[in-house]
Amino acid sequence: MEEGSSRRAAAALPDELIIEILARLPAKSLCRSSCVSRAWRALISDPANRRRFAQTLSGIFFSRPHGSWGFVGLSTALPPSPDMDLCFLPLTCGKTELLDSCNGLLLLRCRGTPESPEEWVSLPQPSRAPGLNDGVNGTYSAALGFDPAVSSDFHVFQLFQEHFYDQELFVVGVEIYSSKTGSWVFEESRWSESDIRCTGQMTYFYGSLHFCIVSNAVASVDTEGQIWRVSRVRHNAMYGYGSSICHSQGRLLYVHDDAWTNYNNTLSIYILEDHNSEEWTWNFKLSLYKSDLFGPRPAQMGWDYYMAAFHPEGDLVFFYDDRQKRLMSYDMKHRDVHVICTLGEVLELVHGYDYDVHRLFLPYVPLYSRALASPSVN
Amino acid sequence: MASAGSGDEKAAAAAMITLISSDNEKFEVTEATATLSQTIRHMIEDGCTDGGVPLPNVTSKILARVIEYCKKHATAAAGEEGSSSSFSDAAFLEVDRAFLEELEEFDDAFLEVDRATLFDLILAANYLDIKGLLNLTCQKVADSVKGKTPEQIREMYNIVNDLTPEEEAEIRRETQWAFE
Repeated sequence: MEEGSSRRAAAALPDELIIEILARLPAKSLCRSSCVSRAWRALISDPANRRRFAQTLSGIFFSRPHGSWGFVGLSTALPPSPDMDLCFLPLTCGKTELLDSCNGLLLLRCRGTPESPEEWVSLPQPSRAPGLNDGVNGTYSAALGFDPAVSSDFHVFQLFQEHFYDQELFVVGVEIYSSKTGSWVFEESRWSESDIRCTGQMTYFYGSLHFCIVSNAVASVDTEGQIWRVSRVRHNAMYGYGSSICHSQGRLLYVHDDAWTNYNNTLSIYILEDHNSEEWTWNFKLSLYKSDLFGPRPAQMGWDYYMAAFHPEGDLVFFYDDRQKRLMSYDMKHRDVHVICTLGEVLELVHGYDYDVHRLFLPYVPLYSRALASPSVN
Repeated sequence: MASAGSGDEKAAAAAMITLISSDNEKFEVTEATATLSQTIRHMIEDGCTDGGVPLPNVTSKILARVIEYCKKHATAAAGEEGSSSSFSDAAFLEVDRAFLEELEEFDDAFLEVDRATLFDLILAANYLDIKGLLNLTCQKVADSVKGKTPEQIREMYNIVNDLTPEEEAEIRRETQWAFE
């Protein structure tokens, strides 16, 4: 009898109450739940309910030539970005560059006076003008630090680089903006070593900005400019030009490309298991042969692909194949390659040692909240 | 302030409301207990509770459980007001903490019900507009769904899979990262 009434009760829940339950699921469970029934899938993919549900990677921004961007939505089962046509981006402000995407916030660098719609906050000028690369100084690389689960305040990091020796750029300091104070603070480098050449790849994770440096290590600095760390990932490799850093499922990941030291064309993925420990230990996780990803091709030094993103909740990596202009995903668990789409218009990848490229691909996780603190910016 | 507050509480405690379940059972509760339900609070404000409040959507079995929850949480709410308005020293914080722990234990024990009862409680919490109870019960169901496969979820909640194999394969392909 109990069984019979259970059957009735389960069917009797109206949609609004099923939504109440689904709204309390983390992204991964929500995603699986879209496979339960047609009704559940409809509720989960209905744009009207989107704001109530946990969010995950909904797509990837990519740089196009001439300073514009595109966006690739990654799933039809889950709600895509509401703004896929990018109409929310202030494209009218002259030359604009998309620098970072972090938990729903986007960082743009504009030349000229931007027209600032309500959703955007114009930051005051840092002490070093942004976007410089004049052969003496560089302020090319900047990143966002934002975690809505921790605080509605955000930070912006601008790396300050200087040219030494053979035109190479060394990071000598970081200027950090806090939305709480509404101002920038410049901090001189307190890293334990001076060879901090940023490869351009960076990620914000647990209160610090982490970026790859050429000596196969990761340099980190926190939002207060108090904690400075260099952690070596590989001891025997000299060139980390093709390395990148991401985070997924609560851990930092480092991807090393050996194309700069030999022609094996292997990618090696390392994981930092415990970011709370005093000594950071990067553990080797797996190797990927580029031929398994992209099919057989002649060996080439330098880039012929680009690591676009790691899925924040799953063992999934996104690659861009520069030769065939394809965006693809690789499932690390099932060792499964899947072509997502062809992107004809991606900004040409830079070959050679001019490694200080923009991040050409930026993963996007939507944020549906008006909770963002508005800083006292004049 | 504190003494005036407790005087009001006494007055409120004296006012009794009669709730009538769908199977015509009558429950007499204090106004403080009853007004955890926004639905009943509005009825009291509109002055239409004389002769009892009929609740045709709630059986006596479920109403008894809901009242049990409201009694416990109404006491908690009164306790919180009492302590935060005038005292904030360590001894009172200690009492608060002990009380919150007790409340948590109560909630855990309260949720030890079969699935049919849990769904009935969700429906009642929604109908009576009791935020805390709705949150508690929906979270319980969500927790039971976490980490489960679609097959397990269907089986657990008797949901018929009306997706075609092709549709299901398509969703799974797109969200393979979510399936281990």
